[in-house]
Amino acid sequence: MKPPVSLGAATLAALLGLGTGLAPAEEGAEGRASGMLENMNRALRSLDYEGTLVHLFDNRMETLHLVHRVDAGGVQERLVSLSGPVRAVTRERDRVTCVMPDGHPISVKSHAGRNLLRSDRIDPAVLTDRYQIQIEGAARVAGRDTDVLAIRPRDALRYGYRFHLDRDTSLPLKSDLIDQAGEPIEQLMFTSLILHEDVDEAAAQAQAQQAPSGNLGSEVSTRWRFEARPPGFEQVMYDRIRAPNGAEVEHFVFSDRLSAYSIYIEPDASEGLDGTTRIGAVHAAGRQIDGHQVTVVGEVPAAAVEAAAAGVRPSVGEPR
Amino acid sequence: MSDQQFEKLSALMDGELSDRLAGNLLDQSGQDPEFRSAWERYHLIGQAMRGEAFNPAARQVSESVGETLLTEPIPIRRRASRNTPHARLAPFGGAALAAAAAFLAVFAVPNLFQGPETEPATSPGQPLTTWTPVGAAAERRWDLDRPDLASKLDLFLVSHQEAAPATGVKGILPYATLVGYEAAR
Repeated sequence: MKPPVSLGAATLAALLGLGTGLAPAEEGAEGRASGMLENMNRALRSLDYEGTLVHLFDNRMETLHLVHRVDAGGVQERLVSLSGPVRAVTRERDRVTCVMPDGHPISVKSHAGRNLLRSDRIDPAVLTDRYQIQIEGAARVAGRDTDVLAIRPRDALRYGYRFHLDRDTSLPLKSDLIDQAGEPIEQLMFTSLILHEDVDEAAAQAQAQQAPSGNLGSEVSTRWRFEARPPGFEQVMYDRIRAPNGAEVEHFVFSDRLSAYSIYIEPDASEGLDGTTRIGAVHAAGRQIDGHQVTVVGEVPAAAVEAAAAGVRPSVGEPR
Repeated sequence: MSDQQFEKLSALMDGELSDRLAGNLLDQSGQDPEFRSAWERYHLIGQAMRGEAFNPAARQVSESVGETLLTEPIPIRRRASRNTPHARLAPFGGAALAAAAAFLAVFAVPNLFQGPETEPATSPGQPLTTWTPVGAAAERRWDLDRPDLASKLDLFLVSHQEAAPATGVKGILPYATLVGYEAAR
């Protein structure tokens, strides 16, 4: 691979139309990285494809089959395990459904419209405080030439991504979840890919209109406060869901514009998680507070969910 | 397994594979976990195509086949090929069958569990009983010995992924954890 091309504050300045004072070569790299991300966003919103993937994690490998379709109604994805017990996720325009090996299928309605940051694009301009964006050269994946783009976290409280982007289509043929050192934690890679049709410009436009870039939402006033949050994470959504036992659960989403975690607060503290656990790179932390169960879940390091859980406080004087 | 072996397996299940070829196939693939997995999936396809309720016992079919092969290789091979219900899968290639299993799993099954809002399929009125016991004993998701808590964390994770920003651009990667992760077994 070629040496990484580091991007930083200059990217933000360039995207804001400010002068950077950088050499033309560096400015070219910035523009290229931004263009690569934009092209990837566009490809994911406009191409129909399917293929076989391998998912690498914890020194283990699973084989998956993905179908990705786009129409004016949105993106539909279906991901199914081809090894081990049948597990499947299907993402429709307004719903995500999971069939899990323990026999408890889950159906979740989309939050589109309620989440101000429900964006299907990555904006490099807002990431530079917490992430470093790098072009890392070229590689071959699934027999195709790719350019490698990394969004590396600047601290140990979040993960980043390394995308291997197909030169012809800009699809991410390999996606790595990486840590601060750039080491992969999980990897998802196509071993075969079938493209069904060319770019659907109409669908892409429709998707773009449905995917606002969004601004951080103001915090919803509730009976809970969230102190000592991991730096850079702000509340972007509040909702209520139903737990398996029927109880109403408060759901708060915090994001740094790329990584995110959710805090769930249940009225019954008897059946919850106490401590920290994980599944793959997803961590969860739980504790009881004031007769309530607090559970934090997210694709972030354990330190982040632990800090988030520890910072939950009841608001003094608020009605319970 | 090669595509040719998948096609032979399909023919075996349809009772259309000769005894000689059936024996060779089982000798070559009987100890192969991928073979057992495919065998299991093809049974699921057959059940779905015949409109049968999901049978948890089908999930252990591959293990039964493997155990039987170890103890009674020859007679059971023939019986297996003759007694297997005809699912009429022969027109499909092996790879297509694997894909068909995938499509059935996500297209047909989830429709049974559509709910009006965020909803684990444990709510009253949902046809859960045909799905419940599948691999629970073998799975230890979230490093927990409490399936109820693991299921709740699954629900929390799916709700989180759906609500989190930039999920779309990460593609299916956030969901690969759910689908790709299988606890030590």
